[in-house]
Amino acid sequence: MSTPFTVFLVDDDESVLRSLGRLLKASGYAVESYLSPLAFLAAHDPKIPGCAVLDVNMPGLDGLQLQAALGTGPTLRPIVFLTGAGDIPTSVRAMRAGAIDFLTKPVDHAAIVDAIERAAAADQESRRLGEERAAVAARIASLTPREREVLELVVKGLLNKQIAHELGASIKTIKVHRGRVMDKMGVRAVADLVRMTALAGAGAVPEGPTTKG
Amino acid sequence: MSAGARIITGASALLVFLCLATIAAAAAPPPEAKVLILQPFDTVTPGPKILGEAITRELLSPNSPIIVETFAEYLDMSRFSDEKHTENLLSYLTTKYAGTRFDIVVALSFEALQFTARYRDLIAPGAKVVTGFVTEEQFNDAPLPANEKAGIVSGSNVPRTIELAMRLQPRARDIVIVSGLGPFDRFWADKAAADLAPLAGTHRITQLTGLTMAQYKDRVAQLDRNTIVLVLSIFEDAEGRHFVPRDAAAVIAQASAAPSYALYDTFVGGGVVGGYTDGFDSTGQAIAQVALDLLAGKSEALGLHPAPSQFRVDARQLERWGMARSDLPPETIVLFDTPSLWEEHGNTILAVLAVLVAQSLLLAGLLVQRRRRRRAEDSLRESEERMASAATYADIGLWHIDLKDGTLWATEHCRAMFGLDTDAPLTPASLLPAIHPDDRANVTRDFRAFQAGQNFDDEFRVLGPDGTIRWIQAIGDVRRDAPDGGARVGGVFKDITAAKEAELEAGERRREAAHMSRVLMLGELSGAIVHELNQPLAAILANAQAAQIVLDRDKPDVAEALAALGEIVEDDHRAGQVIQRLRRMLKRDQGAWETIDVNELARSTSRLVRNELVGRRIATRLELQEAPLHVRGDPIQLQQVALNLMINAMDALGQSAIEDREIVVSSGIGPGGAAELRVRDNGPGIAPEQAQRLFQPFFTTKSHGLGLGLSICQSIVKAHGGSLTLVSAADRGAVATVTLPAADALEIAA
Repeated sequence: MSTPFTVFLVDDDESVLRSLGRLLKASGYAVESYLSPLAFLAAHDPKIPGCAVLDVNMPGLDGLQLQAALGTGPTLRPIVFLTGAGDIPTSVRAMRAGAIDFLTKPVDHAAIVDAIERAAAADQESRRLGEERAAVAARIASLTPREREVLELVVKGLLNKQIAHELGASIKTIKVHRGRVMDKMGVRAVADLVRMTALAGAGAVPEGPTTKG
Repeated sequence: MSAGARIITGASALLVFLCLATIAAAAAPPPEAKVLILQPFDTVTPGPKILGEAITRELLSPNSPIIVETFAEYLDMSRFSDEKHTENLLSYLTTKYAGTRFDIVVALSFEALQFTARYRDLIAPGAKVVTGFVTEEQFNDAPLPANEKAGIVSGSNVPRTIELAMRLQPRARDIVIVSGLGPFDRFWADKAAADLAPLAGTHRITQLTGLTMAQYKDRVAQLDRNTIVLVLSIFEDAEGRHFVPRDAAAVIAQASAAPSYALYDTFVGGGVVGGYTDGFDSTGQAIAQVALDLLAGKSEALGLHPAPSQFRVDARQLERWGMARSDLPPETIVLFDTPSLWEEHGNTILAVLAVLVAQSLLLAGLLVQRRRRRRAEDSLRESEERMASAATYADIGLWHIDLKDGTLWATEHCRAMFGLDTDAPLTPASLLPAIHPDDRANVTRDFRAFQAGQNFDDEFRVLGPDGTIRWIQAIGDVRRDAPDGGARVGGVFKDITAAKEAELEAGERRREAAHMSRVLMLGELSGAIVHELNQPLAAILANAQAAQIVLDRDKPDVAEALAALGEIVEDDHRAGQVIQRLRRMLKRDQGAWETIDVNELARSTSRLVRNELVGRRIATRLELQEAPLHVRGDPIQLQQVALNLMINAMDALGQSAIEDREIVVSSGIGPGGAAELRVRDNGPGIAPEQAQRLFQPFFTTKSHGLGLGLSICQSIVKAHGGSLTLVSAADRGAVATVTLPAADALEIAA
């Protein structure tokens, strides 16, 4: 975490934006303020860890639309909504779309800090997973095509004998491949291997041919 | 043996009879008499039947001086004429009436008369014989003593009937006599031929007899139109069929191609034109009278008497043959006359006419009354108008001031207007205290200007002693044409309280409605208002807590805290303004008029609805002219108008796509230098059928709202001397334009 956790504040009301910025800075957060949702989107860098605090009722693009726009990016940005007069349907929609919280103005310091902290935790978790995923992906990338095939079948729970039969190789050869795969992936047990490939997600392990022609 | 019968048998006992009759009439029941009526034919032959009925009716009449008992027998001699029949009849009658002594036998027609004359002594010995329906010869030839027979000669008169026919058919040269084969038929046919013998020189007389009914019909149907057909009687035809002569005559008359005539009144109506006939009924009455007279011993009743015969014609037949009534013999009885409309419905017509006349009279009466009433109303109205104007003028006080010495002359009415006692001095100074303190300064100022030569037109309040307030208008003119060359000023005082009150009341109503409308509008905007209040409150809370945090550190950041406090103050003001705007909008009573910049009005109004606009995803654009645009007016009411127009514009966009939702508020100088504020939306515009009703109260196109907004806006704008229009915009949407008179420089300065 080279860059500090940043709160991205978006509100079309200048004094609200300024005062909330002041409050959050005083609370120790790095704050970036935007008067319009479009300006925020234009400047948005998903790599920076942090969360967005969005006013729901804004001209141009309202908070929910902004949420949708952010959600389409590679990294999910945790969002805390602020609203002047929150209506239940809007808050339900926001929460369903993954918002951390839906707060009504005027919002108390403790409430907003609590929400931001939860957002920070979520952000941190998603970033950690992201990094881990990237590491697994890098390890998988280091495998040879033959090793990937073996990995795939190992993860599926096949025994060496079955894999050998499947791939048309000797059990001995498979054992060698398997040892290299364990080495390159940095694991000692098959269970770890399964966990890592699951983390990498579908597609992380390229689908090999399951049967020989 | 009755007393009457005994007396009658004594021919020389007339005097005795008369005396006894008189006594008897007075003291005892009238003498009893028995009368036998001998009918010649059967029970259905109409003529004799009617005769018999009439005779019986008369004899049995309660008015009759003598109590009579009647008996009737039908000799049926048209069909049975042989000796055997006569024997049977005699045996029957003598047996039947063996114990009965008749005083009179009425023998009808020749057949019965002949029978009676021969056999009277067997049937009714000593009875006198009364006959009818016989010819004179038949009567005379009857073998009876002259003092024992009486009768009515048959009116059935062939010559007179032919006379009638010849009057109606003067050019006729053919006479056809139709008769049947019965004895009666043949007798009368011969008689007719004999009666008509004198005409042989001028007319061809043909007997039509001995035929069947069908043949009769054929023959008469082929006759020339200008033939005289005399239908006698047909009891029997060549086939031996028996007929009721009346009905046979009707068949022939109807079949005939020429007019036909008859001797019997029963035939008239069946198709014959007419004839010289007995009335059977009246003949019957006459016969009965003769019988009664004989019973009463009146010797003049003996012998033959004429029948009450007359010309009788059928009006329908006259018409059928196109015969003129003027050709009829005098005193002809016209039967079956189709009554004219008048005769048939005379009463109805009279009634209708009476109603019409009554209605006409009523109408005429009403018209006259209406005209009178109109005239009365006109004159009443005139006099009312005179009264009204007189009253108006009467409520005007006249006054003038001599500028030389400052004396005031005024009519007595002025005292009343100013609430002064009648003996109070009337001077300019004495009037002043009556004027409402608030108006006194103005009046004094204007009065000075007036004295200096300016015209005077003031409205002020006069405070009555009881605290009542009256509005007085004072108008003054300076006239320099006084005879003495000096200037005289004068004018009128006018009581305008009523007008003022109405004006104030109307204003009050308008303000009331405007207030209601504002409250409703703010209700509609409540969400946006909450949001607008929330913003500064949110900022204040954040700043305050930020200040707490930075001051609570080991090294308090005072500068940051101060910045936060400064913003708190600012946001507090901002919230205060929102609340004040709300309070002003919700307030009922109105502030004074101010000079207002229309541009500022537009800006503040769009601020008021900003959050609502954002919430409804509507873009707004202000296109205001650069220079301020000043008008005079009530800021709240004008804001209300602007607000209302913006809400309408927003509502108009409810169905539009989000990217199309736009409201443009613009300002500028309109025609005549007036200030214009325009609110334009790009919604669906105004349907033509709605355009007329937009400003009507309670007309609305919205699903919510009372439909009062525009009507109230219009009344507000009107009260400001301006106008409000709402039309569809050229391309799309609608544009509302408020036009207000521009404030002049003096007002702006004020």
